[in-house]
Amino acid sequence: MKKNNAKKSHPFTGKVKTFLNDLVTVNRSAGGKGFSLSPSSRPPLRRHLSSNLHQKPMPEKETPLPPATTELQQWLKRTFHVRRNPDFVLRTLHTHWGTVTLAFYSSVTNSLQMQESLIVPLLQYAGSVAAMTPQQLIDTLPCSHLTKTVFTVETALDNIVQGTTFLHVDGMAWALAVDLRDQESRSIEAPQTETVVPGPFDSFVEVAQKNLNLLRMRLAVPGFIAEPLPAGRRGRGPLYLLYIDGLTNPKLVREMRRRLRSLDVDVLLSLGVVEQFIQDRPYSIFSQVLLTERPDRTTAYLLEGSVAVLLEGSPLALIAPITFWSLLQSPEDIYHRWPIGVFARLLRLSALVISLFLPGLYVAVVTFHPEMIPTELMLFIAGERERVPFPSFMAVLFLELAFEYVRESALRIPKAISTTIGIVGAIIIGQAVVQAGIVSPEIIIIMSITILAGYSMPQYMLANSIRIIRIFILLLGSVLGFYGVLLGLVALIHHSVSLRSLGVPFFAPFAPLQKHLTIPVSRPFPFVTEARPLYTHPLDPVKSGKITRPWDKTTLLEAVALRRTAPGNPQKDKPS
Amino acid sequence: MTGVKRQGHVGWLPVSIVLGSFTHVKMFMTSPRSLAQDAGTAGWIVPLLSAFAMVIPFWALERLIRDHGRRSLLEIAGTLWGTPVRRLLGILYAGIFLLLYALYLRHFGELVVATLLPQTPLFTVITAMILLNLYLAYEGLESLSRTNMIIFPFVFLISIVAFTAAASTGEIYRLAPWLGYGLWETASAGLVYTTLHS
Repeated sequence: MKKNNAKKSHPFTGKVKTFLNDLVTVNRSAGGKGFSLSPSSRPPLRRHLSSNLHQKPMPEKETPLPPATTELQQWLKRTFHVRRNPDFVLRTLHTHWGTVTLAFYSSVTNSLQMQESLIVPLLQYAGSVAAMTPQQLIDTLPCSHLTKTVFTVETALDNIVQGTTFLHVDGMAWALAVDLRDQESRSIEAPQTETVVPGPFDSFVEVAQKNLNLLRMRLAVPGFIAEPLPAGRRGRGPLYLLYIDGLTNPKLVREMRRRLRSLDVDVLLSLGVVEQFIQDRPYSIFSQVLLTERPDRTTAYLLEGSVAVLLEGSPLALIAPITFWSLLQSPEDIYHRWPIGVFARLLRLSALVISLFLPGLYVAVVTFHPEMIPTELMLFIAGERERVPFPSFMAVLFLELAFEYVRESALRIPKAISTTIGIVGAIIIGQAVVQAGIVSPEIIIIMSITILAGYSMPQYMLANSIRIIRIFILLLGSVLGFYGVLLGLVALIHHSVSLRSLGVPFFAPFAPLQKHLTIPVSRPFPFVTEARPLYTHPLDPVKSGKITRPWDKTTLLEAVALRRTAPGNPQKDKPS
Repeated sequence: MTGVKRQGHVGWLPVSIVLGSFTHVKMFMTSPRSLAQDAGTAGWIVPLLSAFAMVIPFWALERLIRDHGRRSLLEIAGTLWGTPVRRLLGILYAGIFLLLYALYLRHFGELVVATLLPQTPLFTVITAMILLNLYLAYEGLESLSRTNMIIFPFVFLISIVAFTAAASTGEIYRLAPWLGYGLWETASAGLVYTTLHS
């Protein structure tokens, strides 16, 4: 007995052993959780994950519908609190062939459509009653394509809370759920944050059906799939998973479906919330998906092999996978001619660098390395700083905070008095702080350029991330000079390259270096770009023909002739 | 060119870039100082001596790898001499890495203090670098190789520009006396350099 007790290890020792074991071994069960588009030969190293953490799915309860009207109505009254909830309508329709129960929410149901498509056909029903089947009843309704058969109490409950109209015939163990929903929505307007000069001016709204309409208006392929998925325990949803069958890599679709199905929350009010649940590294400062309000951009990414998600009630589309370069691109880069597009992208790249590092570099130079500044400029800066009692770091931080206050207040303030913010901001930041000797004029210039560069980012989320990183770089520059900025740069790059967007390396195609490298900041000619991006591993890698300008005198005649005779060419049988 | 093909597997290109960038940093930032200290004006001969001397260890390594497949040196030592020797060699192996890390960190810190931050204590510089290195190690070798893929071209370009610009200041006569502190001192410095740094 004593011997057995001696052999039993202490719990702490066991924990230490497990920790060391996890540190140096591959946890096979946890390794399967990793996702990569690349063919994997062995599971990745995942530490401190236990295979005992998996959740058992709850068994789904199935209660048959009560056939008797009285019993069914009692259940409906009890469940939907009819007395306290006048929005819920429970109606008994007495027809010449039987008693029909209708249950629906009046606030989400189109009453006119109900009268014409449901009640009138029910009153005119002349078929068999004794041996009535769901299909017989459905066939009599003009809106039969919007009708589902319901056999259980749980399904009936789900359908009613989703806004459909519940229809039950006395004595039947089944019912129908008819979609007569009338969804209120604002009209389609121009985008708020992703405006372009040339290009479409429509944007998503809160109703997913309208958003699908905008996408189907652009995509005429049978493989374009909008797969509905549940959106939370108490949310109406649905989430729509969008992809193009035959083009999008099925691994991507499966992975996104898996992540969306894993959302076990009360309600999802916005795709911004969904993003935080499904992205690969939720603690990162960078967003690893793209949230866009533009249907044309969503269409373009779907055609590049990404998947998209729509949510009922959210005027955005979530797109993944993306790369870091996607956050620097605007749709109008493509709509413009190539020199303008390339120039705009290079400008944004330089703006990114300036926005991140300029304040930090300025503080580093004037604090630690003034010998790098030309003598005249150094003397001027020294003269201006003589009147300022604070160190450069404090002055820059003060301006940074002042700009943040202006930005926040401009977002919250009523539009009628929004000009006040501009005036107050201009007076305080532009003039008063210099006259009061709090900051020097060159810091105003530095910060103005920085802020403008930051807001030239086409993605609002990226601009937000940049603002926070900039403060860290500023802190490093003020403590360790250039050395600190350099450390910050290396850490930033290291963090960015370790990110993945739905399994795709965030810095592709540079890190890892891919075959057929295309420089993302350049904008290739649309008529020479034949292939879709490789990072999504599309099933159909080619997006256009090899020869798209056969009439051009520089195009070889032999190539034109080969193109005409190529199999699958739609122009093959047409006379030249 | 191919990059990383499989998750958890680093390809030849990232490994080459990581090794190249480490060698590059060592070659241009820390080695000149230690070479000048060890061999004076004959510091340039030491890497050449070391390169010749390293033929033997590399030949031995190549033979070992050929005979024992893709196993590590410690595994091979365990097979040949048993577990106690393997463990002892593992400790020595870790010790030499720690020693080299500390040495290069010190060299790098002194370089930063001498060139950029003369008023800053060496401890601060080294601590900042250790914190960064901890973060780099935490993210793993794959991220480290990809970071180098981004940084290395810029560093290489800057080095080329800097050395080209500084080429006009070079004079052959500064290499005299050719054997530095003497033949034996230069040869012994080459031997130390071979065993410690290569």
